[in-house]
Amino acid sequence: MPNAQSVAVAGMLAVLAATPLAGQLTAGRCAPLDTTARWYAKQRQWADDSKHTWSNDSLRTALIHAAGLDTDPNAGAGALLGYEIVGMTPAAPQGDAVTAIATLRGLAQTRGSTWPTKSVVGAQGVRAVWLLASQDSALARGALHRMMEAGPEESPPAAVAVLEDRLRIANGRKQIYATQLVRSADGKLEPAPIEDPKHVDLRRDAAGLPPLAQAICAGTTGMRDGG
Amino acid sequence: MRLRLAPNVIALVATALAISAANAQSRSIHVDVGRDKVGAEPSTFIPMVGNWVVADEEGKKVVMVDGREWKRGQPAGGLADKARAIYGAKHEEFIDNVKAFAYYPIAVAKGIDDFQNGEISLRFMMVGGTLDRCAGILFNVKPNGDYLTVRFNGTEDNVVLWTFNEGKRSFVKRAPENFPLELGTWHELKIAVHGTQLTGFLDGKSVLDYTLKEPVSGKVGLWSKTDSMTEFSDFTVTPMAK
Repeated sequence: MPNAQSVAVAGMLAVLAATPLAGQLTAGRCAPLDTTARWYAKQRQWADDSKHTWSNDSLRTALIHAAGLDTDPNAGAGALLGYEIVGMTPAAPQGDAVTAIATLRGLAQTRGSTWPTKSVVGAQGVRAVWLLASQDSALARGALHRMMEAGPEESPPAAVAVLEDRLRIANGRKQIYATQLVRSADGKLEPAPIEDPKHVDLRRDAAGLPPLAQAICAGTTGMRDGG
Repeated sequence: MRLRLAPNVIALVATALAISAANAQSRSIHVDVGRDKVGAEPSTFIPMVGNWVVADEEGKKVVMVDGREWKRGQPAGGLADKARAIYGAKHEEFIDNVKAFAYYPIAVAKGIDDFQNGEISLRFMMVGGTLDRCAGILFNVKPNGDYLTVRFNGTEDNVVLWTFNEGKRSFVKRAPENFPLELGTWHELKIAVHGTQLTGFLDGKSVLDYTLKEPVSGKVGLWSKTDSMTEFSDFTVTPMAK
């Protein structure tokens, strides 16, 4: 299990490669994780914190702690493979997470405020914001808006894609990246309704997510193994 | 006393009205990419910012702006040559402004040097874009790079008129209604310009009216935003006499 420092240096994809999820992809049950694929390179490049260029280290540390990334570096790693299972809601926020969510909600609602983007809190800090947003729907809406506004250098497109799909499904709309999976009547995982399914892998590629078939396979394997 | 016109007078009036209508509405100009190679830049548009290619959409060749590799402040390849080709000696000022507006991919239609009055329409299909999903009509493009656009944004579900002047983008007017269009479906965007009166249409419905400060005069084309992936087809310009 990598420690927090190695997470910061190697970025989210290093975490991903170390998780059981990646093991599922390389164990022969799904297509192997293609580390030369564009989506993988895109995520890895975005998640690189090795240059330590963020401006607010104390905020970064606080966010990582509040999101629990310091104790569980794998938190939310499944979403990096481009899937979430609808209905598997995260635990209600507790302790420092409650305070952090309230602070982020205030920032999101205050025009002109400095949102914690990559140049402010680094890639791990942004990932912490994204994890906290998954625990609070009001923050999720504000965070999505601020992340989209900040642009791809400052916000990870893969996280933006998952967040947008999650909010669309919650609001009764069709998703656009097919990151939200549901169990069909026969127990298999399948995407919740998608807009324009023909171009879905094009959109996933643009957002730095693996092809849908690969994500469904990873999700199915994870479910079968009780992951 | 009731006025009665002889049949020959009625015929004469009808003929005069027909000629007048013909003068007012010139022939439509369709900017077509049907002969272009899929994957190449369109030959009938000049991409100034962004990555514009010809794509095959169910057997029909269309123009696609592909924002997958979009980077902030990145003009299209060969910008200087392209600017020189359409603006000659004035191209340097145009380039400076295009760089200021590099957030917004644009492609200028060839062969339409000065659109002033009439209609411009196109069909668009949003395919993707994590930050933006936009399709717009570019018009009033000046030699210094200033321009106007009426655009649809699928992340905001609205139609808006924007001005781009001397490196600054300014909001002008938003259509009061929102239009949640689905990705992967074709829609028509149209503007009608009569003097300073501008009307914007979405799928045949008038959605935006605005009186411009001065009459329109300039080049036209396609407009997009940041990482949008949008397909365009049936770009048609119908000039009309003032």
